[in-house]
Amino acid sequence: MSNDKLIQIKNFDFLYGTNQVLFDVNMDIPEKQVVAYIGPSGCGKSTLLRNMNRMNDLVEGISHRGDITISDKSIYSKDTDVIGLRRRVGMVFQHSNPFPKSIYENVVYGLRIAGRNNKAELDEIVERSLKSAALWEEVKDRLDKNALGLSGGQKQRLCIARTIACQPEIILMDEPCSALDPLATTKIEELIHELKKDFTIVIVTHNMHQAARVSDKTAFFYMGKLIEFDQTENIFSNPSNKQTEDYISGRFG
Amino acid sequence: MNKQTTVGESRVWITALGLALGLAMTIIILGLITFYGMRVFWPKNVVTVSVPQELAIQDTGGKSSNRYLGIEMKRVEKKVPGKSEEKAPVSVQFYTANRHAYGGSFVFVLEEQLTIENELNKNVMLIERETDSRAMVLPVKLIIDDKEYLPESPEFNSALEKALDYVNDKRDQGRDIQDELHDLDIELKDYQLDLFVKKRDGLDTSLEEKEIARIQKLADEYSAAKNKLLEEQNKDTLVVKISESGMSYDLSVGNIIRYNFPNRLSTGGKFALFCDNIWEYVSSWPREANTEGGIFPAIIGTLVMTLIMCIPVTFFGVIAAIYLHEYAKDNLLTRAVRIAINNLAGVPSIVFGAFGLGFLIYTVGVGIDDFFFSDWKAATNEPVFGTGGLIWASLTLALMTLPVVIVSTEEALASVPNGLREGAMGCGATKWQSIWTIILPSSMPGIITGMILAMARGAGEVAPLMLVGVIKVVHALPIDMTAPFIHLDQKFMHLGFHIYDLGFQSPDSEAAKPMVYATTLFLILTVTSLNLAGIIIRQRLRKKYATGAF
Repeated sequence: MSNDKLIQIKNFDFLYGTNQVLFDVNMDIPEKQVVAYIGPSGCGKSTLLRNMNRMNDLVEGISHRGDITISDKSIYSKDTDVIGLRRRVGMVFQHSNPFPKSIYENVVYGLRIAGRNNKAELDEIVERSLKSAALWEEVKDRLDKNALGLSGGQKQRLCIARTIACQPEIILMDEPCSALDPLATTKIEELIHELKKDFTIVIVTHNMHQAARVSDKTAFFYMGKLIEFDQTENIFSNPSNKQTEDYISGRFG
Repeated sequence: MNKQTTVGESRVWITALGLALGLAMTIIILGLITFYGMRVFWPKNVVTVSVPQELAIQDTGGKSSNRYLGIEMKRVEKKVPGKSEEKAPVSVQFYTANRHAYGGSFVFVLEEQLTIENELNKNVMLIERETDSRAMVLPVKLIIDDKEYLPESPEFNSALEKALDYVNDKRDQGRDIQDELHDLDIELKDYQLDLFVKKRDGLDTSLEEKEIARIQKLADEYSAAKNKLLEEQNKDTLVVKISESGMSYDLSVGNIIRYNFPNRLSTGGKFALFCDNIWEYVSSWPREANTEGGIFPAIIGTLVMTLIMCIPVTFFGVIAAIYLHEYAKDNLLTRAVRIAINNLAGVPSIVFGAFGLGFLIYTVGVGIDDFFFSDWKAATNEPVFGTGGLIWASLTLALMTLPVVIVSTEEALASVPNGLREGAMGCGATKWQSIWTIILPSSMPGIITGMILAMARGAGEVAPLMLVGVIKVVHALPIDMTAPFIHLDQKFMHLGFHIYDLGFQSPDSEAAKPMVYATTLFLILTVTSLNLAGIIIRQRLRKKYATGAF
C-alpha cells in the first residue's frame, strides 16, 4: 500500500527577514517516487527543499506560514524532534561534502552520533549502503583511506551512501550533479532509479533533461510560486501553463 | 626610441626593498647573537702579559706581579674628547679570572704599555670550581695522601685525573644523601603538621613526637655522613700560583669541577672542549650568583612554564572562540566582546603581571591556602599557593596570550566549509555533535597555529613573570620524580629573566656580558624548538584534514 500523500505542503509561505521567497505553495508528494523541482535560479525551489528537513533553521531571521506534514505529522509542531526529522529526511547537497575522515567513518557517521557502535552491525550497513550507492566495488579495498582522496563523482555517491546508511524514508537532493561530469552524472541518475524502490526522493535540478530522465513527477517554480505540478510526461510534452512551456522550451530562465 | 617601462613597477621594488630590509635585520641580529653566543664557548690561548713595574697588579696575597696571565678579550680605542685629530690610544681588555685574588676578572691596559710574550706557557690551567670564580693558574704541586707530584713529572696528569674521579665519586654519594635528606624533610614536615594540629585539638601527640625524634636522629646521621664525605672529598690539595711571581695558595681538589690546559690544546682538542663547554652550559646549574655554571634549570623552567601555559590558553581560547563563532548572535554585545578581546592583545604585559599578582596570587592563591592549607599555613607560617609560582605564571601568561588563540581559532572555524556543517546536521547531528566531531577536528591546524603564536609570545615574556613566580636561582626543578611530579606551587627560573639578571643584576657585569649572549641564544633556540614541535604537529594534522585553509 503506497501512500500518495507522504509529504503534504499546505499553503506554505516562507520569508527571509521581510523578503518573501515562497508564496502559498501546495503540493502532495507520493511515497517511493521521484519528484523533480525545476525553475530558474532564485525561484525558491532549494528553499522549499531545505524546509522539508528544516535545514533552514540554521539561517537567522526566517519565518514561515502554512505547514509541511510528513505521514500526516507536522514538522513544525512544538514537539517535533528536529534531529529525528533529519534522520528520517536525509539530504544530499549540491557540492559533495564528505567529512575529512575515512570512507568507512563517513558512511557510519550518522549511526555513530546516534550512539550505534556495534562493529558487526556497522560493517554490514557500510557494505549495504555503499552497494546501494554503487560505490562498493570501487572502494571496498580502501575503506580506511581518507574520503577526500575520492573523485568528484565518487564523493557525491559517498554522500548518498552516508545518507542511506541512516535509513531515511525520504532523500532530498539539492542539485546533486551540478558539479559533476556527464559520466558521473549518468551514474548518479542510474542510482536514483535504483533508490526509488526504497526511498522517496525529491530532487532539485537545473538540468531539464535530467528532470525528464529521473523523475516521476515534476514541479515548476517561478518567482516563489508553484506554477505547475504534474506527471513528468505531461509537464514535458503537454504543459498546461504557458510559463512552464516557455521555460521548458528555453525561451527564458 | 622605445622605452619599455611598466607603470607601477617601481612600487614593486619598494615592497621588495622593505622585505629585504626586514630579512636583513633578522639575519643580522640572529647572526650576531649566534656568533657572540658561540664565541663564549670557544677555548682561547692564555698569554703572558708583561707591563712596567708601576702597573703591576696587587693580589690579596700581598704580592705584586708585572707579568701575569690573561686571555685577550677586546681592544677599545680610548677617544679623548676634543682631541679627535690625534690617533687615540688603544686599551686592551684581558680576562684574568682569579677574582678572589685580583678583586676582579678583567684588567684594561694601554696597548703601548704592554708586551704580550710570544711563548705560551704550556702549564697554565683553567679551573672551574664549585665555589668561587674560575681560576687561571700555574700548578706548583699536587699533594695526594702526603705524596707530592710536580707538574713536570709524567704522573701528574694521571694522578690529578684519579683524584678527580675519587672526588666525583664522593660527590655522587653526597648527592644521594642530599636526596635522602630531602625526602626526610618532606616526611618531617608532614609529622610536624600532624603534631601541630593534634596539639591544637588537644589530642595525644606521643606518636608524632616519637616519629619526629626518629627522623631528626636519622637526619643528623645523614648530615654527619655528608660532612664526613665532604672531608674526604677535600683531602687532596693542588698548590697553585696565579702567576710566576704572584701569590700561591692551596686549592682543594674537592672543589674542582673541570679543568683544562688551554695552551696545550690542538684544534681538534679545542673543538672537543668547545662542544663540552656548550654541553656543560646547557646541562649544569648556575653557580656564583649566576655568573658561573650553566642554565639548565632556566631552560627547564621556560619549557615547563610554556607547556603548562598552553593547556589553559588552548582550552579557554577554543571554547570562547566556539561560542563566539558558532553560537553567539551577531549583536552589539558580541561585537563589544570581540573588540575587548582584540584590545586585550594590546595591553602591556606588565599589566597582566600586576593582575596575576593582585588577583591570582593575593586573592585566588591566598584563598586556596586559607581553604585547603590552613593547617599547613598555621604550622609552618609558609604560603603554598599564596605566593608566586609556576601555576600563577602560566595562568598569567595564558590570560595574556588568550586573544591570539581566540582570534586564530575563530579564523580556523570560519574557514571550515559550511557544507561540512550542513552535511553533519543533515546526518542528524546536533549542533554540538557537528562541532565536536567534524568542525573542531577540521580546524585543528588553525588552533595549533594559535597555540604556536601564543607560545612564541609567552615564552619570551619576562616583565609579568617577575611579579608572579620567577626567581633568580632555584634549588629544585619544577618537575621531578616525587609525586605530584609537576610542582605547580614552586618558583622557577626562566631564560628571559636570567638574561635580565645576568645583564643588570650581576656583581661582575663584564664577566656576565658574554653569558648574556649565550643565554639569549639558548632562549631563541628554546622558543624555536617549541614552535618547531608545534609546526610538525600541525603539518601532520593538515595532511589528515585537508579541508582547512590553515
